[in-house]
Amino acid sequence: MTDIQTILDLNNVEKLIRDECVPTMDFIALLNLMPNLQSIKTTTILLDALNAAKFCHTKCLRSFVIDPNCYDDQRPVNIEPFCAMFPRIEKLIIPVDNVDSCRYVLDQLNQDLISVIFRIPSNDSVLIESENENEDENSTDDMFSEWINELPKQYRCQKKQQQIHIWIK
Amino acid sequence: MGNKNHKLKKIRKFISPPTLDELPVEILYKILDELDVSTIFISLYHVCKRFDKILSSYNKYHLNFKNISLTNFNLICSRIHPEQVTELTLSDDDDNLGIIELFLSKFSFHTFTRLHSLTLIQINNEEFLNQILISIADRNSLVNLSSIKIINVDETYGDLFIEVIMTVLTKPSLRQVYFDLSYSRTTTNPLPWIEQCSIKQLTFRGICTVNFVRNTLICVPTLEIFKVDDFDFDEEIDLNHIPTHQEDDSSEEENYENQLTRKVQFASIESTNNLKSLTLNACSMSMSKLEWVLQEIITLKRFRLITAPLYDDESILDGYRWESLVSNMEKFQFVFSVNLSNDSKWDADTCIEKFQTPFWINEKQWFVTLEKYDDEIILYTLPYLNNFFVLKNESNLFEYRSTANENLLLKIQSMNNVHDLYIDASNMKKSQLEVTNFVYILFNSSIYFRIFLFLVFLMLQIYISMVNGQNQKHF
Repeated sequence: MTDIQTILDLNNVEKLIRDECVPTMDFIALLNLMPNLQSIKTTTILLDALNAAKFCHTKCLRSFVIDPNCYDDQRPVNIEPFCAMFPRIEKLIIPVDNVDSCRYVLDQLNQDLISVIFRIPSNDSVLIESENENEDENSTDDMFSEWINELPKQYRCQKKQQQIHIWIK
Repeated sequence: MGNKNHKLKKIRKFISPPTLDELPVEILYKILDELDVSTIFISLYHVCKRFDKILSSYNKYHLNFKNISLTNFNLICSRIHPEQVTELTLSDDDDNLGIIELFLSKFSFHTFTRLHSLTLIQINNEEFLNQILISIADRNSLVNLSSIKIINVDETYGDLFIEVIMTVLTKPSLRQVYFDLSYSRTTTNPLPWIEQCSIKQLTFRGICTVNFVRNTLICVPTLEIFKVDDFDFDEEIDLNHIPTHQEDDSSEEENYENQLTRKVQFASIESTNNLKSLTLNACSMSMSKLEWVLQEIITLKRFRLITAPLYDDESILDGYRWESLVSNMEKFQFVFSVNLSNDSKWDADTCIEKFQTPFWINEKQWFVTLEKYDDEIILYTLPYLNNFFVLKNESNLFEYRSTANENLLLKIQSMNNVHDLYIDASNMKKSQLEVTNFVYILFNSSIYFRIFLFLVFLMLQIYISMVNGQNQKHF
């Protein structure tokens, strides 16, 4: 795949949207050939593969987006390896399923993170999964809403349907 | 000896370029014109007293608050004076949610006395939006405002917005308007023009009913440049074709064929003498309707036409038919993507021949390129008009023709507008890249491409091995 540079000057690539499955090592090689890459849009599947390959992208990315339109892959991201793989991101849009993941992102990426959008699961989907569990447990929505109230006052936060927007700095 | 050294020093000082802080203020203003406001206030502020003085006297700031950090936003707001701002962009989209509220808590809109251009993106809070627009609608404020852009396709703004925005449009200073609003604003529930405006350039992202176009041209007699996606003829009555009982009985197929070939006639759109440029960005009109539109706007000098997906009127590919329609024009640019019917007799050589006449090549010097993929034809003028290009899968029936084969300069520049490249590498073949201008241009262009890769690895490897193994010289 790296031979794609025979038809493109990869120095000029700023934004990469990856839609199809590509062997992980080849995708890593491609990323390394794009020194001016600023934005990546991809799926959770790729992150799992990159994690298995012990990938790390140390350059600062202007944005990283987990594609919200990929209906086959709406799983929450495994946050700890993600932050290790991409430690420098300015704008992040990512699906999560618990408050601890949000806390971890804000803590680990605080060097560069300007804004983040956490896509959270709807109560409906959580209820289906935990039908037999204790009903008086806080709903997912409530837990995230409570967490927002704990955030520093200088952050600008808003919960909009199944998204939490945080404008950090 | 000492005298010589002194002279040399003097000469060196004379010929060495001045440092940034020695440049005259006029040059520094020119440099500021090219810098974004974050760079100005973060990198130049408090460098020295002279710079601070220059920054406080400079009065052409372009404030773009789209994709800005909260820190930079607060910093800029604390350092800038509203009367220094000539262009302002406010975006309340996902990246900067709540910025409007913050901005309005810091500034009164009417204090932006030198504002020329205003862009409002994704502002869903109607109260804040109306607060801004009411300030603009006042004829005694923002008297220099010449351009307004409102982008929010999901909007459901109410009556107050409509009333205020229509008043804003009558502002005597206003020359350029760009609206990317909900579908109904130009179709089922169109913006109600109330009185004549002085607008010269009007862009509606979306489809406009012909009746809305009619009303627009009546209320905007000064209009010179008009850009829309498409004209909707659903409510128009074809005056040449009031169906008879006999026709009603004929088959649907026959009616469809007749529709494609016969001339149509609708109530006039009463075009003004000022309209010089028309752009249709996603045209689904048949060729006969396009003919009618062009005959209605006889003053037209520039025409840009891009067909909508699944467009299927093959007659749009007829160069002879276009000759009489665009003979008075200075510029005609198009991208036609046409799906051929199963029984089509369309032929690439016959098609390209009609664009190789003295009219196209010598008189107008308009050159075209043609690509055929299975049942889809893409015919476009050079340079390619769109800012994106889809490098499609080559089929076994792929064909390529161009009238610019000997025009090397045009071929080099042909993809200069392209910023976004979509690659479907699942079944790409070497010959496809050999013949198109496209690959050549990618290597020669200095602009940054945002590349959208749709990669299927195995098939791409096949393609790459073919390129490497057989022929590199084309690149």
